[in-house]
Amino acid sequence: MVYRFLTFPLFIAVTILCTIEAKAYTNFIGHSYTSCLNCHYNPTGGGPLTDYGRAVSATAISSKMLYPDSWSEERVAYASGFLFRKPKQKWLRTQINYRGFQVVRNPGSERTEEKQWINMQLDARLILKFGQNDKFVAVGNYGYAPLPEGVEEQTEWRSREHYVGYRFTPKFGVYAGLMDKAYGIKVLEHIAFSRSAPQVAQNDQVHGVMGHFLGEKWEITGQGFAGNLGQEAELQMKGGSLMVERTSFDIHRLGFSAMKSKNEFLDLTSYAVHGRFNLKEGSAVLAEIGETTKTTFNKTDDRTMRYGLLQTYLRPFRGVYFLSNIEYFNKDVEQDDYTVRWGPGLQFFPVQRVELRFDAYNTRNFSTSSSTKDSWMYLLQAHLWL
Amino acid sequence: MKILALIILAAAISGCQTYNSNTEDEAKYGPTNLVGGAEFIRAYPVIQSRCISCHNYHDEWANYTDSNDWVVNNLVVAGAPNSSLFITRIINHGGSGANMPQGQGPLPDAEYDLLVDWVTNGL
Amino acid sequence: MIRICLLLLITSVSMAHASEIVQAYKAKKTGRIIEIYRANPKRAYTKKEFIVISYALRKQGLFKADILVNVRMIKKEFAKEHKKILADIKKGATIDADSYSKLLKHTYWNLMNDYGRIMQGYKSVSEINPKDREHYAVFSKILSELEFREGQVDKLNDKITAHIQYVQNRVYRFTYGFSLQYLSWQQQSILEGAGSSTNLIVTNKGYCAGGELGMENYLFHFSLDACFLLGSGGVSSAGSAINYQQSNVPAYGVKAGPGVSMIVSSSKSRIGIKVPIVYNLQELAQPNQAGYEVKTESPLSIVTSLYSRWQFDSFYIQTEFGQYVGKDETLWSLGIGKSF
Repeated sequence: MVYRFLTFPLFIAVTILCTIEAKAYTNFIGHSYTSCLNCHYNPTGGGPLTDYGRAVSATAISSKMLYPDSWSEERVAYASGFLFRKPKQKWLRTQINYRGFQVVRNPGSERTEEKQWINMQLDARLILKFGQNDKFVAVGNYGYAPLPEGVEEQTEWRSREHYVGYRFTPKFGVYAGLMDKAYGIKVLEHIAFSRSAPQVAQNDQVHGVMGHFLGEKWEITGQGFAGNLGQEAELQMKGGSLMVERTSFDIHRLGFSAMKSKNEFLDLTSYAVHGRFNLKEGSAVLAEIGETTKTTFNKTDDRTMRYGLLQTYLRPFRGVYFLSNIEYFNKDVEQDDYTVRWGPGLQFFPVQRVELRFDAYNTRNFSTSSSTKDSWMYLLQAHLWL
Repeated sequence: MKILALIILAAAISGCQTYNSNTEDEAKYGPTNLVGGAEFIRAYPVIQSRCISCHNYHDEWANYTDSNDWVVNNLVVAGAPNSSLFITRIINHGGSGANMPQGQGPLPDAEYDLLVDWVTNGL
Repeated sequence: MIRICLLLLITSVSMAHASEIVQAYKAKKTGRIIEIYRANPKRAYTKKEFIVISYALRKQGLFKADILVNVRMIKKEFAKEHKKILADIKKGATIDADSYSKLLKHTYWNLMNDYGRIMQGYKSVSEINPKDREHYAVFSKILSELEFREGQVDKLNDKITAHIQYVQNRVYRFTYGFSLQYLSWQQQSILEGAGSSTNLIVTNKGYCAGGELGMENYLFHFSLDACFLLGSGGVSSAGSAINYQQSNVPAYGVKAGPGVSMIVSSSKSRIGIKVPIVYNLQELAQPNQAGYEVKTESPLSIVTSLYSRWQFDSFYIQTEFGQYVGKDETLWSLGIGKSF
């Protein structure tokens, strides 16, 4: 009992500890910069990359091993445009994105469930941008997204993003359309508890209006949303979110998020604190702890969930990252039971536009009334983009 | 050209899939209309509170409000709980593959008996 | 008369050598040039001969000898200019680069490169000679003031600084630290009775407090760490013939073993592997039912684990994830520590 009580605060201790002793430098979090807006059109990250973002991806993240030695970084950056070409005009950009994976559950045991290769995502993105410093942007995304087994009524084609944005000044912008909810750290893993518990997973985009402020140290995003307007009215999650981040010691970011959303059957209230820490030369640590309180119409599933995420990227060489993904999840804080999922992984960018990734997930359940064998999952993923 | 691109953009994003974390909210949390015998009606609250809270994303269990849905989707075999995947995976059943519900420990005997009764007598 | 003859003899021999040096240079025989020079290093060579000898010595990689030749040339041919430029640099006076001869600038260039090559040849800290750095700095400064090959001077400066840093960073130093980890591990036990046996999994969690000793340079860290383990765990046997359940069973022991990691950033964050031995004592109560018995496996196990550490100055956070050798069970830990 004592140990379970101390487990959750350990994540808090980790976050706090990271703010001690850091010195001031001029570099940024890992390679990534303190704000997502440096590389993405969407100020909360994700979605298509800007020209600058593509160049950073090509020159800082991906390996140069397949290029001739005579190629300078500048030349590599020039080849980062769509179809490897430097764009000839300023107002139109396009991108194509593919992600596929194979998952194996409980390998080597009687419980092994091997699956075929799954084409998880294939979409095209169109970006229109006008005005000085691309003040005005219109972003659209459309593509293939497989449905879970058994769901037949819907098409397998969806748009995960379509919005217009206007930056009144480099510091302040407003965006309207279908976007991800602004909450927490936007990690890639859609099975992450930090994304599924507050319902900010890969398909949980909402139509709304977002205001974004980017100062020297502060970044604030406020969003009001009306749910996904393509859904039936009673399912649309209406509400709002607020995310605040502050640059700490010039290289780290600490943040806080709050979100309230509800439809006819479900009411969610979520809070989280998070940190993004620069370990230099491309290495970084992400940490988030949060709680989501769920209230249901028929009272069958009212509970408060608590989650924690600790994700590290350690970069020994350009193009290679060793990952460590540690998650904590208590699906009902009234119970003592909780789950810890531990996932070492390897991410490799052999060349720009190609990402190969291997993750192993070990899930262990802690319960006062039972002790069960860990479950395992291996995930092999390929991500390609043009 | 710019207007055309905007039109293409707008056209492309119409008629889209909207499946997300809330698609099954009505089935899970709304008023429920069950189809099945008394055994299914007694077992369903156990399924809802112990199973559907997790099996609600890639699985469609929240929509299986008809007892026969579970047979059609090969989760249960009528009259044969020991051959039914849904039963054999429950911790109470025992065996090396029995680890459900994850993170909750074995079900109270009364709840487990309701599920077995449904599969044995209610399909 | 004899003196005149001797003088004539010496002169003729010298002239013979002189012409031999030049001839060897024309024939591209640098080895021969060096032979002639070494046969009579203190002879009064001409400017041209100095140049040729210097060339040959540098070609053969004899930088220390080349330094002596170039210093001699400066003393013989450019003593006044050399004194002037040093004085002007000391005073901070404006230097008219055009008033210095090209040959002198090349001589300074040779000297800078000689010292540079010597320093780039250092393989260990014991070879570092502060005088080399001092002399190199003097000639580097002179060349910067004379604005001679500036870009190349800066490039060489960077290269040498990087090399010396590299040599110094290669040195292993002793490190030690303390840590507190939260960890979880599983173990097998067997429930036997009534002619059957059921494998049980004991899931434990707890804390491990200890420290490490290590040797570390800029790239690798070799360590030996140990900690005292205190925790508790539970087991259940749902589905077997009898209902057997234990919870909060105390467990204690020791976890110790070697590790090696690679430092991946200037913040000293690292990834590596560890092979700890875990000695874990935990006594499960025997079942109440007659004829049944719980057997636990050996308290001693070996784990192979992946390890990462994120360093924030002297504090760190570490993770470890491993599997028991020969078993399915895993052990993982998340900890904080301080290194010295």
